[in-house]
Amino acid sequence: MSDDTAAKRPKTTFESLVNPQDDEPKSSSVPVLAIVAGVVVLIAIVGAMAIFLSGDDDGDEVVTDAGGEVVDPIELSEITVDGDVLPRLEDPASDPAIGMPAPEISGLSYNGEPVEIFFDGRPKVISFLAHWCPVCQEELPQLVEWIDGGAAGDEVDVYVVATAITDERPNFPPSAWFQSEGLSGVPVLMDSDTSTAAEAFGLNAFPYWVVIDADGTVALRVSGLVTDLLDLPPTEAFDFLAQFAVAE
Amino acid sequence: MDTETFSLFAALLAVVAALGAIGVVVLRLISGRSPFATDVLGAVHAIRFPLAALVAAASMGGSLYFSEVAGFPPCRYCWWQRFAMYPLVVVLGVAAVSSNRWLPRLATAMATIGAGIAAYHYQLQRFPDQGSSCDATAPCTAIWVEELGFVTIPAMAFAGFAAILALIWAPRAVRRTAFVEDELVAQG
Repeated sequence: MSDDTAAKRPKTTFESLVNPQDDEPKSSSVPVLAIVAGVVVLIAIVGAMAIFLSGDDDGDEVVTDAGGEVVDPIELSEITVDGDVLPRLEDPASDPAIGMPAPEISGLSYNGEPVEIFFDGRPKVISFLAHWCPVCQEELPQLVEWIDGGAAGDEVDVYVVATAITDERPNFPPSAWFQSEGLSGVPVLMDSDTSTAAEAFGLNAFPYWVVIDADGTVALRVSGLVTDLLDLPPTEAFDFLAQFAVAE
Repeated sequence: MDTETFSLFAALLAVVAALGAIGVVVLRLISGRSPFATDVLGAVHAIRFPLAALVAAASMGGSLYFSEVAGFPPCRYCWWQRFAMYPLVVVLGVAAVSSNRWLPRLATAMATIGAGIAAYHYQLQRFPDQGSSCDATAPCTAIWVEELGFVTIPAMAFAGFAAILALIWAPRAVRRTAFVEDELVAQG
């Protein structure tokens, strides 16, 4: 019996030491209700702040047409495809699309001018970019530098296709992105809302490159940051790609 | 509520959750010297599992809004974070109404794994060079939502996991609160 009492006593003693005045724990100076109320009030404040603060920041980039006139930019266009759609790219090293005739596509640029990528006897390099893709965001300035430096000279035509365009994703609109990066001097085709152009060329990931030779057949398709793929500085990497268009 | 407003709401909630997690930990650190901190921790302790379940449910709701309403496709790491977060709603919910000793430990393991994946995903967004291309539908490097300059979706997930961990553990082992819990258990 005395053992039981001894076992019980230390606990009581301990509690009374730690909580000397705590005979009625429910009368704590911070009731649980206060915490609950605090949480509810916080959520309400956060909701009010979100409604109050959101929705007033759109950048304004001015888009001009070929004549220098300011126009409303377009972000999507209707794409028409002529010819067979290429299979989706799986492995660039054994790509069944190589040697197949490239489909011909047409649509609009962001300044509303028509853009056509069709068989005209000239080698082509087409860069497909998604405005929301961080890798594309890294690649575009490199591409602009390459284009501004003369790209592959007069031998190869460079096209940019803005694809996977949606205002629900970051860095929208692509027209503003192209303007702020200083992309100029090459045709820019805006894909459809279902990415018809990208589908036609079998895009599998962004950024995506299709190299077409003078015969209008596919010479190379790759996806990814070209400088990483080839482990070359950007300009040399793009030149390397372009060589596929003229090599024969 | 449009996507933009919801994103800001979710981001602010995440900041509140993160500050709450830090606050609870700070209270725990000073509770030895501050009776007030001990009192607050005691009150939080009494409802830590319902609160943690609320955090998990809010995280799940936000995640579902972003994928199902806003249309942002969840990437691979998003899914792994979901695997950790969604069951936490149930685990913490059951922990709130039972005294099973293993549920908090299970929740801790899940939240720790989730926080680790969220942290990795967040740095992947900050340094997208680690991936050399964007998957055509759901690239993990892409940032769908970025509020206040730094709060992206995995950052919100991390805040949620951190808040859950803090709620489970920070109020524990404060003797006064432990006593209150004993009392509550004793009272049924």
